[in-house]
Amino acid sequence: MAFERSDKARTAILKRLRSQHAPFEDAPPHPAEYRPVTLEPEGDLLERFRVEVERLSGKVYAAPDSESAIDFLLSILDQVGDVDSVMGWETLPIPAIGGALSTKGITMIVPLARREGRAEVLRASESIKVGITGADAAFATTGTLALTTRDGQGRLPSLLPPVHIALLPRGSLYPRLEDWLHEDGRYALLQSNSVVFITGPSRTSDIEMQTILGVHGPAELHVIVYG
Amino acid sequence: MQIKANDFVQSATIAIHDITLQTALDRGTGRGVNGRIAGMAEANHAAALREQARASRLRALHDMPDLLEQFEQKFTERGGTVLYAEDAQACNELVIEIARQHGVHKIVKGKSMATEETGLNHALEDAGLEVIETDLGEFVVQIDHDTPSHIVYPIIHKTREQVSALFVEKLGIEPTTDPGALTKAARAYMRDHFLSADMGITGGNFAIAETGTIAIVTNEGNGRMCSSLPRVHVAVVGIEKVIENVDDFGTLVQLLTRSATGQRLTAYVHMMSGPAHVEDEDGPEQMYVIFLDNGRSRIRETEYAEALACIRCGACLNTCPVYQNVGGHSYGWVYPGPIGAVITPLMVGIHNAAPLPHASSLCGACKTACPVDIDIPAMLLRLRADLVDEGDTPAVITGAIKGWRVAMSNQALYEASGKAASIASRAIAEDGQLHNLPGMLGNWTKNRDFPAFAPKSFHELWRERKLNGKR
Repeated sequence: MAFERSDKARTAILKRLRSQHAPFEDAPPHPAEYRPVTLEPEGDLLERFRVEVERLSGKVYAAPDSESAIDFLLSILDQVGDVDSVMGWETLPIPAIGGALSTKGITMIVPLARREGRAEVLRASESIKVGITGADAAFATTGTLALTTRDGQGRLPSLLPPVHIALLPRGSLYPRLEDWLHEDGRYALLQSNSVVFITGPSRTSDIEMQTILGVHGPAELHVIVYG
Repeated sequence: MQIKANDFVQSATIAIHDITLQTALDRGTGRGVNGRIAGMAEANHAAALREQARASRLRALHDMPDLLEQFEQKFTERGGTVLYAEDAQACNELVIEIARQHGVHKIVKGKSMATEETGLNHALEDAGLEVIETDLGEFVVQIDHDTPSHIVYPIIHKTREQVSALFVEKLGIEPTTDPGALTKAARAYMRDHFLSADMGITGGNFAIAETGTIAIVTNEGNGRMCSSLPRVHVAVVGIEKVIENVDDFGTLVQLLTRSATGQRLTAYVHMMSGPAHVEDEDGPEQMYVIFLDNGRSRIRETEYAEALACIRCGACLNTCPVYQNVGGHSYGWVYPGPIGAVITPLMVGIHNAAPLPHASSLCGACKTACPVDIDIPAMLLRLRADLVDEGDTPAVITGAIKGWRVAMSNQALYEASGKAASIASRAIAEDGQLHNLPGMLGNWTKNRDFPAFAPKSFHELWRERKLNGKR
């Protein structure tokens, strides 16, 4: 019944909008090229990315290759302590991570929180302290990671656990958000129904504008840039 | 939400004398202003970016019906459902209908001004549904049966001591005024609700027509939880939120966060273009977008259409000397501050919000702070003129305007009244300030001083100069 009213509302609203004299006939046309919001970064991109992420209390590790990336990952898990299981993307950019974890006795869980299993999986996932993901891109001037959801790249590992570790191939680091958004980002938005930009750990300033980290999302964000 | 905008003067007067509120506002608005200034200062030519952002909003308002249809087509192709609501009640009924169809009992809700506008929470509760606000500020508002007083910082009017007392009472925590401990308590309380909720409701900061994408901008992560964990996700979005393409989004989202909190980007920007794919490991099985009109389409055809360009960053609130002193509740409806003083009369009817266009010193700080350069002072003036035309103006103001008109149209009378004001004011002034003006002028000096008039008027000085042969 309410849905039928929606159809009527749709017709009425669109008709009203179309019958009006549309405002802002003189609005400036599309710019030939959009001005990016941040200045072109000077110097080393990775260094700038590190500065921006660490300004937000995240951590960035520069690993020369995927083997040392795994070492960084394991040492972060040591720091967290008492980690016997982690959750993560099924398709991590460094496949050898699975083996490295199991030799340490750590179980990697890929939560399938859909359909009938949803509630149970969510409950079971609640006790897991660490989520491991890749990242599709990162932007240096804002200290941002871009993660797209698709088969093998779930939403939960970067959201539910208090610690999020992201693996970023060095070649996926872009100077600015706009450098990715115009082509690759547009494609990602058309392919995936859930894309998220992550800029630092979860935070709130609701109480007297004091910054507190780790409200609902992860309190810790570690980015391992490798290659 | 109940409209109390006509009580502005009374509410503001109480607010100005509320020490706790003044403490909270001082702590809050100052940081907001400093954040925005720092955030915009390092941008790549802030003025040019504002023009770019403004142009994208104006183009979108011009093309609104086409963009809504384009969004609908894309979003539907991608598996989502688009619904439309003419007004608040229709919107709430749609949400309830969706909940019924999917056998929903528990709802988690992210921050959304549109649903404040429709009073959705009450409607859901009346329909027997359990709804939990999950943004920390909105949660505090919900359990305190209060209303938000800022569009970005809902509890800017509350001190940590007040939040502490509330949590001790409602959540049974040990007393603490540490914002970190208070946040942890709220997180623990909500966690279970997140994991067991059947439906999530969010707003939407932008609806990108090109890709059929709803973007929400959050810091806590509650918005992502609401849109990722439950099996049904509903986004309630004002029709004016539709923008044309991904490039416009890139500019607007960054100016939004820089202007709102000074952040380069908020911790999370979540872009959703439909329910989870079948092969996805998680995510909602159903996603709905409800486009809410509630008066917006009518505003589009008035000379106030520019007000629809607002991206709800709250910068005009933080920077406004009136807002800084009277707080958000004084404005008496959902949208406070300078933009609220424009939008509220337009949405609820000017006679239901007659004091608001006057709740401004027209200093222009709001326009300067606005990331899309909305000319708020000009619209406030126009609204004042509308009020005068419709005879809905306080007698003080109409009387003063009439007197001014008479005096201004006759030079002798003008100069004589100036002389009289000069002599009289200096006679009663202390230290050059008047503390108690007589009659209706006393309204001014109730809350501030008025400087005494100069001994000689400009006209007199000018005549003397000419007599002395100077130019």
